[in-house]
Amino acid sequence: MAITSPKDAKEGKVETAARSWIAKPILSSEFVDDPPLEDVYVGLIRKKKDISIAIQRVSSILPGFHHLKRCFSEKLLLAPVNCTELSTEREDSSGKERSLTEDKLRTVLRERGFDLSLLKDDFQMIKVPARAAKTKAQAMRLSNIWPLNFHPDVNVERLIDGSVFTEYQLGLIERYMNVAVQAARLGAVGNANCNGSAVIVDPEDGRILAIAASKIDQHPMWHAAMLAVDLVAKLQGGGAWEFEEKSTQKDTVASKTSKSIDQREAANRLTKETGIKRKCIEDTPLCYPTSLSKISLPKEESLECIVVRRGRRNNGSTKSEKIAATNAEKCGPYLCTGYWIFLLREPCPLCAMALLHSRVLRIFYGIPNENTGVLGSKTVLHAVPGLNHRYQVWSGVLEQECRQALQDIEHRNTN
Amino acid sequence: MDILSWMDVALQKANESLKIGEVPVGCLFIYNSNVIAVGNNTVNKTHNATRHAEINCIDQVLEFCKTKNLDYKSVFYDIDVIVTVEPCIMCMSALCQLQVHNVIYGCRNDRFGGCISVFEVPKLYNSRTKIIGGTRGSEAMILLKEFYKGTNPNAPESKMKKNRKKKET
Repeated sequence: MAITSPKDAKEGKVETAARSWIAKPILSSEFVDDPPLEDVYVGLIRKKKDISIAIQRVSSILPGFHHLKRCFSEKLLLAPVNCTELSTEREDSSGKERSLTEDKLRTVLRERGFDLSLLKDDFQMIKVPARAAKTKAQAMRLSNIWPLNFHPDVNVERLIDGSVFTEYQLGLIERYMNVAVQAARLGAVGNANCNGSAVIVDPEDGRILAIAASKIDQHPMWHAAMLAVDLVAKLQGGGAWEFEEKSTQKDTVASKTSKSIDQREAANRLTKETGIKRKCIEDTPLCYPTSLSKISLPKEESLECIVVRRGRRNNGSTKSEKIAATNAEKCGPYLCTGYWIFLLREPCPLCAMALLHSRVLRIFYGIPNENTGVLGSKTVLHAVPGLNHRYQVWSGVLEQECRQALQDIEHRNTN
Repeated sequence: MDILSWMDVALQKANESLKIGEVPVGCLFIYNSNVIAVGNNTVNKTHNATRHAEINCIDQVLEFCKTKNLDYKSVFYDIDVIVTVEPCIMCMSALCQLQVHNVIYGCRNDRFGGCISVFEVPKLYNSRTKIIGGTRGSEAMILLKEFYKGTNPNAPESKMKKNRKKKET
């Protein structure tokens, strides 16, 4: 069971040769850590010819172990030792421990009509994986313990082996992260809990919609991602914060701002008249602080085109992208649905949850935030059960440049 | 005024929010026994998903501090937050960063709650903030249920619903 096909492995080699960084997917622990093992009873089959009938019988009266082969080298999986269902069935209220005894299991099997003569007299207790493997790598390790029923999830494997992105896409991702690095260097004022910059991109056409750098010296909530989300809201005729800057701006910037206000009002009128949210596309990217508008932007190229060209339409992401596209046609963009965001540093819970509420599709960050980062460091927020939207997250993009930029910013702000 | 009466004002604000098609959450920030900020959710109005009642109140307090020439850090330090629903992870992070004095909420927020329900944000910040839940929670919950019964007119068609329809046909 190879982790990557030879072709993918070859692609991987090219990537590492050309780039100083690797995009590491941030996955929930169930994809990273192996499932725990549990104690189970196994019966030893007396005669090989009885294996299939024994499997059939035991599966019908004691279902379970769907992630495992029921029988392996004449050992038949019977039941977990910590099987509350069976152990409490005949609980004599003596308050004994809840684990299933061998005698009790034998009684249950007999009562349910299992022919115990198929098995040798004594059962054995062994350890097997308690739940299914989520990845090929886990499956490989677990199958050394006990053979598995395992069906790899193609999308998960592409995330893990990196083939989710083409060489071309990685090049574009690097360019957008470079914008984030420049933005952070130009304007970021954050603190130890959150710092850096944010660049929001529409992957469909590669257009940068918003560039922001942390400005917590001006407002305690002006973390980069919070600012960027509000800039996108302004593009849709909304927005909450008024971004006034001290009057040291050049005329060109001032005129651009007033022009954009006109356009925003026009968009607001359109929204009211037609009920459709318009993108003030001519304004893009909106920047805060406005000094960030002097960053030279990469050429706009779709971040998605390669995937489409390859014709891989039978995967989940493409389907959801299609739904997003039809929604966009119907009612204009909704919040940050479908957008990609590039952050210098792993976000704090304020920023991470703001991006979750805003329904961004993908988050890329350069360096971890050991203090309060919730997309890998302190927790994996997007894997917490119960949340209504999940984004995909990668760390390590342009890692060295991001780390150097953060050091320089912190040095600058302490002096 | 006592907490129950404050919560009554917050619930009225939540009700107003419901009437204008926003998520019915109402919030007050109390400083020296005075309400210095009253807010509700304005996500649909602003097209900005972060405009929760608490965030709107934070902006009002900053404005208050600017006009009164007060240091916002020391003001937030003495603020009691009264909010009809458990603050979400984002808002709780904001309130922890600002080190507010107390957070008193009504019902739990099983979808986004940042105090206990989904993720315990205060642990991340070694927070000093005291959190008290369950004040007139059932009334807050009724408003939320009312809202989610109707469909959010601004939300796009959900994937879940779409799939369900496909299966039915």
